Amino acid sequence: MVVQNKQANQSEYYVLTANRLLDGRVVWFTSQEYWGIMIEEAHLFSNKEEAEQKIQQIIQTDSARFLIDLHCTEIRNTFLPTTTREKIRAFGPSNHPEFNPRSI
Amino acid sequence: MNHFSHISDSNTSKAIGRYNYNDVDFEFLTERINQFRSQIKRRLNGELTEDEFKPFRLMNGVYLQLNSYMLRVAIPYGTLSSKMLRGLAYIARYYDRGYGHFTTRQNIQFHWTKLEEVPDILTYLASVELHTIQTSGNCIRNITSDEFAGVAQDEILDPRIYAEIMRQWSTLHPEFSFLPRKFKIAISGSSNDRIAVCFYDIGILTCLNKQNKPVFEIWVGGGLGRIPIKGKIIRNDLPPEHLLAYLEAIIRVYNLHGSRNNLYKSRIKILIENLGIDNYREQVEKEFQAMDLDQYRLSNDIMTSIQENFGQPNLVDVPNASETLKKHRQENQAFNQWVNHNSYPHFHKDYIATIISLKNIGETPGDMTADQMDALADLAEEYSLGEIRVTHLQNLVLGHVRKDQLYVLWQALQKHHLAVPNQGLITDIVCCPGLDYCALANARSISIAKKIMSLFQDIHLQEKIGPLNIGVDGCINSCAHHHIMNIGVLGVNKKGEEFYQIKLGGFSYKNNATIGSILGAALTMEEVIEAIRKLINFYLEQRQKNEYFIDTFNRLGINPFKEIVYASA
Ligand code: HEM
Ligand code: SF4
Repeated sequence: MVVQNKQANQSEYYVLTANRLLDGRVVWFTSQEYWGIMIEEAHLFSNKEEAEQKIQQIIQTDSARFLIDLHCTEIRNTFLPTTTREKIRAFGPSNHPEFNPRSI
Repeated sequence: MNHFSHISDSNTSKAIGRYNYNDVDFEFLTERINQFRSQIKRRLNGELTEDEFKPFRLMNGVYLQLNSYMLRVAIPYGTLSSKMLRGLAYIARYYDRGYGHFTTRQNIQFHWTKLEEVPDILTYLASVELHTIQTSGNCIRNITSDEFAGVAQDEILDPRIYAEIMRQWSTLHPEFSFLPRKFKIAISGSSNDRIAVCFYDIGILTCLNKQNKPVFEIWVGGGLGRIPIKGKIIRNDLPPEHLLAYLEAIIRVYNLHGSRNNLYKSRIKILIENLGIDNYREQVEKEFQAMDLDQYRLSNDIMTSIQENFGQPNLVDVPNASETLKKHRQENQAFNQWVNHNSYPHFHKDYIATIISLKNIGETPGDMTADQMDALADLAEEYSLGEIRVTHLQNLVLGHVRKDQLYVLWQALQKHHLAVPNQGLITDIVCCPGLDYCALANARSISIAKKIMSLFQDIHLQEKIGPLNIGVDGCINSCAHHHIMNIGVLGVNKKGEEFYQIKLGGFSYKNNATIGSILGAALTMEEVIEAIRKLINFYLEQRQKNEYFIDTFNRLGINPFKEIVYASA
């Protein structure tokens, strides 16, 4: 669930995420270049530089207009973000487990 | 002063305890909503960038949180009519996810709104006389008041009339739309502090002078946040008719000298700390003397025209009301317990005010479902003249309940989980949304509050512990007042993980107002809960006679409490 401590010895990746302009929902950049609702859909970048380069590319495109707070974040290969903040963005507020994107 | 030229339409049925809108007010709101609708349209079609759009969004109470857009709706001086509460229920049900969150600033927040729907929400809100203006930005924010206004036995004047006057004055004041920083005002019509008067930019209490005339005691420069400061009295004998002139003088001096380039130094509290209160007072008095006081005077005509737009409660004498209540209390222990904790005396001998706790064990403090809102709106209509108040501690109040009807009301409240008998006790926790929602948060606060509530859920234990307040904040902005609570918990961020600092000994109200002291190094969530368990056990061992937690703390000082938490660690 949302709050687990760091799991040691798992490889790290970076993913791109943002909030959708229209409804504010958290979205993840996928390999097919659409923005998915589930973190499991996210394209994995193996390092931060690569992820940031992609952000620079996206900013130039029209799709950037529909995104707010576009940024990259670190995850474990279990699709678990390393910070609590990003875990909550990925899985919803912990006081409403029914709002986890997986259950909606 | 053309704001106050409204003519009242007398004798239509008016909501009590608050100003009722007229055509001018509705036109104004419609215009504002149309503006915002077109701004949203321009944002969506790419004419406005996010940076350009954000100030407009915030001006209309729309924040981007971690998971969605949050909409903050102002509840002026904390008074709602049944109609308004049903309106909020409607928004919660059809535009949000079935609930709303009441805040310490007498606002309600909806955490799951969609940007494209906001203009429709605002239009609906306007139809029930609510808006989101002044819930964000560097302006004069929603003016808060005493939840027992118009009820309390010690009241000298009704603060809501003045709060409404200040609301109208500040809403569009050209000089004050771009202050150095946000500005918060609270007012009470009593001299006893129920509003935490020393912790606002301007806090106002009402006293009687030697001639037995009401005068305002004005506090300035208080605040919480990163640098918590207790305000100071700038004037203790202001005739009410000069309220606007004097406030304007205070704010002008701030507007002139307040820092605009350092976010952390831009509140009036910092300016007053730097200048000294005597120097600040001198400048304000100079400004005040130079003003055309007649132009600002709250004449009888103005007061009457505002007052006429407030519905007046029709309180009646009820034979044997007190005896009936007494009998019900003797007959039902649970009811008696609820009355003990969740009621407040009314100036009319046959009435009583009740506090509806929004601190249900297992639920999020301050949250209320749409169904509960509808139910309470109905009950308020039936039992409290259709009026509901929001407290600064995230509870609600029904102000005018007939004593003989309190028992029936309580039975009905129970059905909707609105009769939790814990007001003022350890589970009546004030809690900000924290990292579950708020983009500024370091750590979650709701989880901490829920764990503490569950630890102390036994009502007999709560009664044994006695009056004690806890505030849990997800960051130093201190929306849940952790600085001035007996026990404050503050979330801090250590490399992306949640930790918590404990503060002890805070107190919110005038004579003993105190900013709490940090207990020691930050702890994990589990450690904080364990620490609070130890602190309470230690207090129960050490307390003398009927001491409250805060008394024991003040008698013993912080060190023994520190030892209890950290010695064995
Ligand atoms: C999106 C959510 C919120 C944001 C972004 C936010 C932001 C802030 C900030 C930045 C401050 C510090 C002000 C300063 O010192 O300059 C603050 C203070 C405060 N907020 Fe919030 N807040 C939020 C939600 C809430 C909630 C839910 C409550 C009530 C439960 C609340 C009540 C207050 C109060 C009472 C203060 C401290 C009073 C003061 O010193 O000004 N806020 N907030
Ligand atoms: S105290 Fe901090 S975390 Fe909590 S609501 Fe306020 S700004 Fe957000």
